[in-house]
Amino acid sequence: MRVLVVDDSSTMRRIIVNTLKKLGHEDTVEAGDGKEALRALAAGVPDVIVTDWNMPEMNGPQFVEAVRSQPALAKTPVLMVTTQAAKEDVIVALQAGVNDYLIKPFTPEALKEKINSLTRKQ
Amino acid sequence: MSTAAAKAVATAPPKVEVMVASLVDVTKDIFSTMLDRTVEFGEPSYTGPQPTANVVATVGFAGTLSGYVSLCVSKEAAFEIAQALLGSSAEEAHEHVRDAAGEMANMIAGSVRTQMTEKGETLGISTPIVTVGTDFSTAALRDVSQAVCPFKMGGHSLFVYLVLQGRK
Repeated sequence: MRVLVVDDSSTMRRIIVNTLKKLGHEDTVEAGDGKEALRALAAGVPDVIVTDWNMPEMNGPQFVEAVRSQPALAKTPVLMVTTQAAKEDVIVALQAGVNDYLIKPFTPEALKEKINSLTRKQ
Repeated sequence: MSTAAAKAVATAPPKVEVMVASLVDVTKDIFSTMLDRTVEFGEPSYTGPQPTANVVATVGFAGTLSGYVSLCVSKEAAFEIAQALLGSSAEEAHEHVRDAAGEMANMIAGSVRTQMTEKGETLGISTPIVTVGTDFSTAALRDVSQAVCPFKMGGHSLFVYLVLQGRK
């Protein structure tokens, strides 16, 4: 299973990638912002996209809207991992096309559950 | 203002104390969840200055309340935090010491923002700024409320420092 991890913080990308590797998901691709992520998506469709909210160039919801505007990516599961935990934020993310939401701080088990749940639904 | 509302305002705890309670709560949770570390909270102090530390990660907030939150730790504690946060080798952790402190401060400020939003405040937070060094100090402007929240993580002392604009 290939996972695209989008976050402007290289440290947070490392945390997520290391956690995914421990969970058995070795095939990961990283992008530092939405535009870089869209370029990575043009090269290949992952099984899951994990994205942050606060990023330069385009924020998380804007990136997800751009993803959903492409027919080939319309059904690719997207998990948003963020500190933006207000109800209004969750609504904005869901309206943009996010499938699930994980609030920081998170445990490896919580990330595992979310990823497994998203891939089961595919 | 109605009599009931005036009484509620008069008996409400100062905002700085409300934020300290939230900071303590979220800091314990973040260290436990992200690092699998227990941090023991000491007694808060409502006077400055910012504690001396080698690594200071600061996130500002603005809205109905304005100010900033800093995570202040020693070099050694920052390394331990980076290694636990990344779950990685010492070599990789060394590369991420600064950013790991920033991420911890970001999560602390973000979680406090969420709790304060539930209490009716509207806040936005800044991106983290991390200062690393051996001989520096910072000072807040005069018209502020301050709180130093001390924690122990194993043998390390760490501090969460809150500055709130105005006497709140």
